[in-house]
Amino acid sequence: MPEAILDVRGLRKSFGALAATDGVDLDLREGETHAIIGPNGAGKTTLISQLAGNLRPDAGSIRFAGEDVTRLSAPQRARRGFARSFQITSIYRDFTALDNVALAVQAHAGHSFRFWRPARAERRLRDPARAVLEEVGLAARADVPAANLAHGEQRQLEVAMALATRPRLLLLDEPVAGMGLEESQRMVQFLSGLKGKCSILLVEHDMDAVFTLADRISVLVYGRIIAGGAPEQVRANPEVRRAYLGEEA
Amino acid sequence: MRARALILAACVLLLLAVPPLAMLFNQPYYIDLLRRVLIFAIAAVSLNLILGYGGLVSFGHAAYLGVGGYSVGILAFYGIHNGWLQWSLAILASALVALVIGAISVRTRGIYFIMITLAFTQMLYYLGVSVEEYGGDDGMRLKVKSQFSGLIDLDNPIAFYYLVLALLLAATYVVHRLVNSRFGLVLRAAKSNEARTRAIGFSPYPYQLVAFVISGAICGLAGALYANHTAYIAPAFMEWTRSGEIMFMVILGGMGTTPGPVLGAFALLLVEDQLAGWTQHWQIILGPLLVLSVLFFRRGLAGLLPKGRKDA
Ligand SMILES: Nc1ncnc2c1ncn2[C@@H]1O[C@H](COP(=O)(O)OP(=O)(O)OP(=O)(O)O)[C@@H](O)[C@H]1O
Ligand SMILES: [Mg+2]
Repeated sequence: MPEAILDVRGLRKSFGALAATDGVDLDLREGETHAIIGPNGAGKTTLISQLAGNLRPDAGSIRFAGEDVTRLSAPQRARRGFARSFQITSIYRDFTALDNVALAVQAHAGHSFRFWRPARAERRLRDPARAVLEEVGLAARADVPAANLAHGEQRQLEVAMALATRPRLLLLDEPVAGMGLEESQRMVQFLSGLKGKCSILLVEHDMDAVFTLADRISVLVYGRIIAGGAPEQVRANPEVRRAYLGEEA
Repeated sequence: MRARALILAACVLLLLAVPPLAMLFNQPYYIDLLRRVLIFAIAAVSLNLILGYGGLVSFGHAAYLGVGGYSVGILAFYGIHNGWLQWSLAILASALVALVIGAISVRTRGIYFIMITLAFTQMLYYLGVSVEEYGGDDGMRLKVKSQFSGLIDLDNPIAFYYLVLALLLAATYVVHRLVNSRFGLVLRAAKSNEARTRAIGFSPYPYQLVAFVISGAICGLAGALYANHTAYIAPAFMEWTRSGEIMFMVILGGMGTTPGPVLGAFALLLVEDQLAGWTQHWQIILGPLLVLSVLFFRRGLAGLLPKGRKDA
């Protein structure tokens, strides 16, 4: 087994009496897509937030590419190759789509203590940003303020911003939530094109998406991983079917 | 784009024409009035950088008017009238004070940020009141205006007016460049969506702190100008109502726009001047007027101008 790029051990996070993350062990191999599924309130978003550095765990460790990143801030992790999408779309609503992506490029293209030259004239930022918009199929909408994009387009834009940072690890929190069937199929197809290029931790309720994309699935219930393995194993696991897929085994 | 640029160019021409027109109609008072407006416009432009573009609601911007003013006044008190020295000190001292206040306040958010910036300004205000040597509560007169090796004479109201106008245009241009640079975009991004900004790899703090310092430095220059304008320096420069006024100019004129703070300074101070001419109780009228204007011009006076480019 190749060394894991992400290695999570004994992660714990409580909100008062509620153990939202209750001793999670998790790993992600280079280039792998690892899906986390689980019912509402299982602690999936809480887990992603701790991985991304937005939330401090109470205990446990997070290692990324051999380095302990448990104590690093979100921006520090981002500079090491973490990128995330939020369950509730998080974009710059008052900037154009192109500006949104160009900012993500800028975060990884030299320093930003440059005070005079107009950043919107920098081809070094605009060209790669345009290329990423092209990739996700938003090129025609580049100059539209992000607030005016359709919901599905905003989700695409958020993924575009994550990609523009050239991430090694992509943390996706329900990327197809709220999308129409066609949009969601397009997104799944797009994400499957990323497979192998970067490692993906995918939280998703849409089982079609999960079973299309995942190399491995972990099932999170009440803050604990109750089962994990290859998709067909998980699908067949009676405990999973009872606890999550909502079926009688 | 063109209509907006034309209107703004016309405004600048009008400002250039103020001294000859005032002399023509024998109304030198207007030179004095507008010079005061222009000085406050510089303060408002500086506040717009952090408030309008950075989302940092600094309720203590008058502090830098005071620091800038006292820098000129204290040097003059000890017989140093060299303007280059006085104004450099005004800018540097303001930047330094902004660095201290910013280092503590910029990490906080919302009401805490407002209260901390206000508290520091009140501290400086009471410091001014308590130092008897520099006139305490009454302040001190500036007997000799800043001297610029004979290059420009601030006792000449017209020359002084043009200097202030030039500095306002320069400050506006500098802020315009700043907010469209890489630095400025990070600043605006952090205002727009902090979580997203952190997630793509920017830690907003250093950018916000640097903006805070630049803003304080520019306002310090306005303070040096104001001390020369009134030929007087007093703790009243730093009263919290003054901070409120500057903030109001920015909001009224249009936060996060290039011409906004200048328009706001003109609107507020000219209306104030008119009302004060009519009645002693002008503040009773001004208050509701301000509330109404904010309700009606949600995007500020700059929002009434024809649309500019998206970054304007
Ligand atoms: N900041 C917080 N303070 C208190 N409780 C929280 C906080 N964030 C999450 N929780 C609680 O922790 C539990 C896990 O929440 P989380 O959002 O991680 O679930 P989730 O698996 O992402 O759910 P969903 O599928 O609905 O997105 C929930 O019971 C939630 O109410
Ligand atoms: Mg969630």
